[in-house]
Amino acid sequence: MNNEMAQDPVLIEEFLVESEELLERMDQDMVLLEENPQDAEILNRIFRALHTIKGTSGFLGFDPLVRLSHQAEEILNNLRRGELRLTTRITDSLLQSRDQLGIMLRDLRHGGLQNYSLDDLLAELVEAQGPPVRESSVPTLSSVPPLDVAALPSSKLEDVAPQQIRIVEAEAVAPTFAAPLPHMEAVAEIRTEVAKVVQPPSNESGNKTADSQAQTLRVDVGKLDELVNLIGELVLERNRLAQISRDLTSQPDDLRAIAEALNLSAARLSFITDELQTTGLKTRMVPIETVFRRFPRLVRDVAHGLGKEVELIVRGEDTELDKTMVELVGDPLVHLIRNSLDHGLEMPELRASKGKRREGTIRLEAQQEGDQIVISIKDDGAGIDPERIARKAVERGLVTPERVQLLNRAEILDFIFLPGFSTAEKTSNLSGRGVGMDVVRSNLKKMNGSVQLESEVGAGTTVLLRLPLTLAILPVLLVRVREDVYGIPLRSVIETARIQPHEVHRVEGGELLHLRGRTLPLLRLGRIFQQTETVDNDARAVILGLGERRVALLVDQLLGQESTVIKPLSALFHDIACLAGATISGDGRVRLVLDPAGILATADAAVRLAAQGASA
Amino acid sequence: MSATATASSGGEILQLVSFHVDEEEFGLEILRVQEIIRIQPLTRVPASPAFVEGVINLRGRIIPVVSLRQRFGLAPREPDKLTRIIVTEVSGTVLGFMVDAVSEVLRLPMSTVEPPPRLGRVEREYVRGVANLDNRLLILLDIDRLMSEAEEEVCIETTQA
Repeated sequence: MNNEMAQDPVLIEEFLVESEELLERMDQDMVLLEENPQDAEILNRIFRALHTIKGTSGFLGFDPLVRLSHQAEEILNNLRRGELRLTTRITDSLLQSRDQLGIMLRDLRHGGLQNYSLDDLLAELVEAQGPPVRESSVPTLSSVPPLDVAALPSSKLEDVAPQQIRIVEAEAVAPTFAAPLPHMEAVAEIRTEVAKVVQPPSNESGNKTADSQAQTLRVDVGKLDELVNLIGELVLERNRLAQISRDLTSQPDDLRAIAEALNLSAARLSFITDELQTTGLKTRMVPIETVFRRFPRLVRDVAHGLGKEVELIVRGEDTELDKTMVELVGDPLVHLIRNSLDHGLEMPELRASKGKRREGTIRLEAQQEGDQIVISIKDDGAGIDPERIARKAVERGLVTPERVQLLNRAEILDFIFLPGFSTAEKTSNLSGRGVGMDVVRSNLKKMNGSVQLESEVGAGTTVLLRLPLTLAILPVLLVRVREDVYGIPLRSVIETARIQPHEVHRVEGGELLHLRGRTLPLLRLGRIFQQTETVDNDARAVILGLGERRVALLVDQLLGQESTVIKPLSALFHDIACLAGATISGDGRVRLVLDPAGILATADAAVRLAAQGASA
Repeated sequence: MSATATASSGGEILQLVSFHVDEEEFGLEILRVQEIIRIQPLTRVPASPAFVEGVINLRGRIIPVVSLRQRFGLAPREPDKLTRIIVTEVSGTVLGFMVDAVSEVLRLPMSTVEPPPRLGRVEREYVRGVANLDNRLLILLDIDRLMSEAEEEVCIETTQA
């Protein structure tokens, strides 16, 4: 009876979104429960999650989901009643069921349920509990229509929003149905009614459903109210402007008063749009918890697989950032945490022999610093040996043996982020394939963020991810290089300085700038973009800072600072590493925004080429 | 519009926007044309392919502008008041083609289009065909091919560099 009933795509979408959220939460809760098996609140939360999934699946006629969630719910019920103790086997079987439910939801999203052989899993769910305590008295739900019929006059059905259709607890309904079922016909009627009311999902709308998950967002009503208020003010201001325009036509002599009114209106308009922008962006902010909550399960599973003992400490889950960022930061975090588990933390015996706690710690923390979000992943594992990195870098031909001597610790650790670099002596299916850290960096770059690594041999490694609060707004420093104007993201600008010709020194493979006793590599945009020489030495330098690194970029003129909305450049330009995107200036022209990380990488590549050329 | 009468007799009708680049006249299917705009201030993009003149702001969208003169290997020419940008979409990317002038919208029966002969400069595979109008020759452009070949050339350039 899977798909016999015509189903409303909106209803299914709501079910999917809700269930996926519940399953995600359940992941975390299962791990918590393993640590605190007596915690009734966690138990109830998991139970309610399964129960909700079961109920709605039943209503929508998703039989396999009902069967599985019912059986899993049984275990939770027994646990709640204290008739059962939680064992690793039970946890595993529940997690397995959760994963299977996840698979089914995914299939539903991408077309429909498949044939699943659930028998083994269902049997395991029963067997994991050990010898049966007593026969279950609850009838299987598939035989009970889980609709509170009495509450739903069929004539009113069209007025009932899907959310209002209450799924009643099976336990409560069961006695009713033990008696002859006066409402059974009504149920059949309602099902036909439902079928009439809702449209069968066409292929087209089915595809839409699949894509729409990434597009939906739960927004705090308070934020929306604020937004609506601001829009109201905007409308008022528009009316005022229209009035001013009329006045200008009807009383052309009264210019002074009209100009004053216009000034006032422009000021208010600017205030309202600023507020509107901020508030609009706030509606896109979600707590980072949506990413963090998958990690307890990940750490548990991977640690078990590796035979390691790991404690995961999560802090700052309520830190908010842009929805897009939350989605983009997930994969890099998974990778970094797996790295810590795989390469960072040692086996328990080894840790004990070094006088550490057997149990390793991974600390995942998010916090806001100014207009940035900083996420740190800190482990107390073996740390990274810079000498090993340097050796590998020379082996891979990324740097010459002579040059590597001149690099400092931070610069050597930076090799980890180059494509194709992997120090893992033996590769595992988790990490160590050398496709990792460069992907992390390029993902962060996509978000206008940065990644930084600190490590101490024997004490552990810390990776810091820095993300802007939002992708949309970017304060930039405007600079002129000959006739072209560029924006440089302000967060990478440490300072600007007027420089004199004698402060610039040519060295092999580039130029250096002596600035107040410090020596910095000096970059020229013209050279980076392979154009002819542009700027005179008597110019301005913008000092860019990325992590610990500092470089000077030569420009003709500093034009000031601007908050811009950054837009992607066309796909035609995707190979140009030094550009982060473009923005539109007040006069309507397009202005390019530089990517400091890309500039640095290009400069590094040039230095490497020069070094290789010199050594060849 | 004058060709409307032939609509009934010539089978399938092609609707084309015709434009000039250098001495030649070209046609582009009207359904491919999103809009035609006057030349506006371009922002150069450094290190971009040579045939990309720059980017413009099209009502808040940033789109690249490809110079057909450059693309065809013709000498560059200062834009004047006849210069137009034809906005179109090629494999998911909205872009503009800069042309010397746009002349008219034409309706031609498919039967007047002949396969490409060996032409001088603008031969290659991005010519879909040639239409013979009373006393002039119209080259039907295949912009998808034009751009995919362009991208291949860019790839070759960068791997050689």
